[in-house]
Amino acid sequence: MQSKTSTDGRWWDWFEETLRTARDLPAIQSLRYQWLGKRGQLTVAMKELAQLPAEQRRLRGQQLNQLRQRMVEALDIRQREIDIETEAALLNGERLDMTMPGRPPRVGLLHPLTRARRRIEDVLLRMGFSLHYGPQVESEWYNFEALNIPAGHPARDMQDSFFVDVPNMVLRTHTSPVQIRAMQQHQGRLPVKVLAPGVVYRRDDDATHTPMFQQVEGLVIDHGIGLADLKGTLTTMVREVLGERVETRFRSSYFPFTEPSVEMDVTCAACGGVGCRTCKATGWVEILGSGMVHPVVLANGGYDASVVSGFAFGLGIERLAMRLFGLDDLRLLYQNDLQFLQQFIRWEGGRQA
Amino acid sequence: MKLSHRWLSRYVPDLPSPERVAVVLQQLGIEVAAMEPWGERLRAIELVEVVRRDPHPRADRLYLVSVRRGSGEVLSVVTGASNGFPGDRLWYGPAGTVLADGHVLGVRDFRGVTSPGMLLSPEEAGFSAEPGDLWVWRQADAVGSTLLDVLRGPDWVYDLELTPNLAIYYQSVRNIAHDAAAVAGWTMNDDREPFPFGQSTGLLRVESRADCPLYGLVALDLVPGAVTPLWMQALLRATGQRPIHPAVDVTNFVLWDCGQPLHAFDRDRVVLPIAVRRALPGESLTLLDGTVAALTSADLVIADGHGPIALAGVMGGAESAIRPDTTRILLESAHFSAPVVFRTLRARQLPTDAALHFGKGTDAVMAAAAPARVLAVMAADGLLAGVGDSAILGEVPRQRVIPFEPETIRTLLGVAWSDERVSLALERLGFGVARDLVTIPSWRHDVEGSADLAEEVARYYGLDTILPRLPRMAASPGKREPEQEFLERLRDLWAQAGYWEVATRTFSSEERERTLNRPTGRQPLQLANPLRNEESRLRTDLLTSLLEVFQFNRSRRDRPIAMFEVASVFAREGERVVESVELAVVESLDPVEQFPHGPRPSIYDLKGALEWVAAQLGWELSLSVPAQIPAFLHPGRSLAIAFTHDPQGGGGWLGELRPRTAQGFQGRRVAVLTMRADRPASPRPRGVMAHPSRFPEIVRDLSLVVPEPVTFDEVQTRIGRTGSADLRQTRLIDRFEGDFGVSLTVRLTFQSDAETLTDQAVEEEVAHILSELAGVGVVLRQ
Repeated sequence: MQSKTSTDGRWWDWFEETLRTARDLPAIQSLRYQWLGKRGQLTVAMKELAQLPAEQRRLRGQQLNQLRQRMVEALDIRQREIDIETEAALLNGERLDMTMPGRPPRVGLLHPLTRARRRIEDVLLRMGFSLHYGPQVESEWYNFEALNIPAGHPARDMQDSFFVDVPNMVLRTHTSPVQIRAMQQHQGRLPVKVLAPGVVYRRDDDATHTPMFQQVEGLVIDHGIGLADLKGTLTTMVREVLGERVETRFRSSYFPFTEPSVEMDVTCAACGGVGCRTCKATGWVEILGSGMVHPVVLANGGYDASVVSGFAFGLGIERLAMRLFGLDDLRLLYQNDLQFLQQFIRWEGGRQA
Repeated sequence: MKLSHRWLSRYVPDLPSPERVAVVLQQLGIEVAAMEPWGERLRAIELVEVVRRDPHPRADRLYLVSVRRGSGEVLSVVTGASNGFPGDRLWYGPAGTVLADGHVLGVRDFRGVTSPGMLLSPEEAGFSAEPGDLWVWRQADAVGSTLLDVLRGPDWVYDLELTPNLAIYYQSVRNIAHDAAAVAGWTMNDDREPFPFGQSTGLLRVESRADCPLYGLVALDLVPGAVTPLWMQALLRATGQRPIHPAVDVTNFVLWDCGQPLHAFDRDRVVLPIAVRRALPGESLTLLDGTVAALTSADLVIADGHGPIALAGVMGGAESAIRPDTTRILLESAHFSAPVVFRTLRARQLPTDAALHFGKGTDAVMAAAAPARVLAVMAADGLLAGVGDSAILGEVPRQRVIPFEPETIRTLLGVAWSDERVSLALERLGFGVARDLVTIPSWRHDVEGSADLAEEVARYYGLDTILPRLPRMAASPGKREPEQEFLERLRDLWAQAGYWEVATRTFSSEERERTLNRPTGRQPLQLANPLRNEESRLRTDLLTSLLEVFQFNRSRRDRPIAMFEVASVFAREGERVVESVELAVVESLDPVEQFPHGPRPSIYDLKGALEWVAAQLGWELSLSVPAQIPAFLHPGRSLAIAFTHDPQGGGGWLGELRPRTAQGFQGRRVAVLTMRADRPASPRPRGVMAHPSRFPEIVRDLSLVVPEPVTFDEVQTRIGRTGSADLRQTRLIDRFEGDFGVSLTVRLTFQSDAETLTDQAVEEEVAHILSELAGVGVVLRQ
């Protein structure tokens, strides 16, 4: 008995010593095979149990099983340790300088003018306006006469309009001709509630004017439409586009195609309304022109001013974009310097993301 | 227009502060662009009395003049003036005084004598006065008074921006005062009594009553040596005008005071009678500005016995003009037809103050009343020596009358105001309201109907009194047209694909479009009046615009560029203008120097983006390599694009720019796409999303030797021709060249919805595919 257990002790010491010096998986495997394999020392010893008397066999069997159990656990533990060491060595060789820059995804972006235009379109679409379009090269009748700008009116001067080499055609000076086109398409049906974005041209080029720019025109016609409706609609629209805190005011103005005509001012964005250079110390900046549709214009669109009335408004997309994005120079928008345009990725629909 | 607060106060004696007046002007719809004090400069100029005058010890032509100031201090000032003797009172500008020409006085040394500041002439102070070097003051003001005290303190000047409708009647201090007083409830002095013209026959005749409904002449004499009164000089100066001669200054004053242009002729230089008529063929006139106008029958002229002496309502002639010593005046006050004057103004580019008033329409009542104002002003300031003959021909036109429709006015404003409230506003603004008719004031040529009256009512009560509301009408959702919806989606997709949208101008020129030299087949639309040569036409080609943006960016920095635009191009077809929407994309293909490395740019990036966008849109495109590639493109790296619904329509091109062309835009390797942005004939495919198959995929890679000139497209077509239902995908995964030529490795993915495919079934399909490929000489690489 005694001799047997002391044998076990020697076996264990020897096994443990060998295991401790095993540095890799093959060494572990070989040790496992040497003791626990088919012909392993312990396996052989367990096979020999059969030759022992029954009483000894049970006791000796328990001892060998315990020894086997210890060896299996020790081998597993050591194998896990070696796995970890091996992986650590491997990963150590794969080390990267993670401070290097990442590879950016390739992205594109809509132009700020498109984004500003869509923003106002989306607000007005929600308010029930439908989009209408007209040609950029327009007949003089649609661009002038139909809008109560007869021949001889200063707005028709050569210095204001671009003419082309096709007779009676002009680069449209405003999106207002679409008012007439939309009315004609409605053929007298009510209500008319349309929105007309588009490119327009004026023969001006300086720090605050560009010969080509974009406008959005709005037109509402129905029974009993008045200046009160104009004020309510435009105030709602401007608050949706520029934010709830924007204050508005209306001033009398003049356009040949509206009567009465009014201009709408909003709180100056630069100073918040206290007065600065941008707003000439008034606290207000002009945002749009509008008015009640002139009876002549209604008639040219096929509507009777003694039965229906309407209002129209027009605003510049560039000016809106400048306001939304905080720009101070109109010309940058058409320069298309990609470095300039890339700044706009930080802005979500006019609000900084 | 400049408006003086003090001038306005001649009509409204209890005029409130300049700030309050600005608010009232705003309510009238007058934009006050600026508001500035005038006259502060004059605060430094002080009235002094001469106590001694001595010759300068070392200069023959200079004098030492000792003057007593208001403080009692006596100081000595050097002057070269010939006047300024003991007892005279003079205007003295101490050091620091700013003269009319902007010069700032200092302390100067005149040959060893120090002189602080200067004794001033009228011109140096900014005024005209009786002749003499120094300005000798003859009024009773006390020594020590300043020039500003004499003018009753500083004035305030508004810079008004008048819209064209307001300019018809607000180029008149009287009319502004009238409406401002109405709106603000001020009391106003107003006098529009006609001048009692005489019946002097032989003084004038009017040949064209339609051109000139009213024409009056008054002969008057000025006191010799008379000087324009200082208060008037100050008002004229404050509003940006230069005093010239009492007769001219008074007519200018009345012009702005009540909006009635007047003209003063030198009576000794005209031969009566005066005729108002159209110019005769061959007549000409030397105008006040020295230019010679060749007259036509479109011009209305004032003529005397010798011929034209003035262009009616626009500019006087040089011959009959007032000279410095003129005292015998023939004063014209007329009402000319606005279109006649406007035509001459426009045709001759003569926007004189008179023409800008007459051309917009003036108040006929004022034509009859203005001479009375001239004489009153002249008499009050001692300028008038006498009044001679006078006559007037014609009549003040009857005031116009339109229907009074308060309900229409209420509707247009969106208010529920009573008839009385509506008519009160109109009456206060000078309209007459009697039952169902409104009489329009003689100065309001702009008013035609109820819409105009509604504006008056809104101005009177202020726009703030109209409460905002939202229109009550049948509600329906707003819509975008499908065409526009499509273009917006096209933009979104290119942005999603990694391209930057740009916004270019539609102007171009023959020279600019020649750089790319892309044959578009479009006849350009030329501008009749371009701002500059390089913007002399509307573009026929969008790609050039983008390549110019490319060049602009390249000239600033060498960075990858990928951009697109969806915009219009133009052409003329006979007398018709054709506008069509195009898509253009430009992408640089230069290797990007960066670490960690990215994929190498290739023309296949742009092709892949187009294929992806087309798939999203349901665009059915056929991309082919045609025999003829246009010169601007790389002959070996380009594709023709056609819409399958319109194969002959010339869809567009995708490819690399020919390097020589690219150089013209500072590019090396540049991928471009230019095509029509047609909406697909059929909308995007819709349907039920298929369930994924439960059965495993089987993948086979075939390395194929592909002989020249077989293309990948042919390989793919042949594979597709087998009609295998289980072949889910054919993907090119590699290409290389060896002794055998070109090898393409194609990965075929098989999968069935009904069963697990067996190897044998797949092998049969592969064999079928290989036999199809063998038809064009494509074989498996051994």
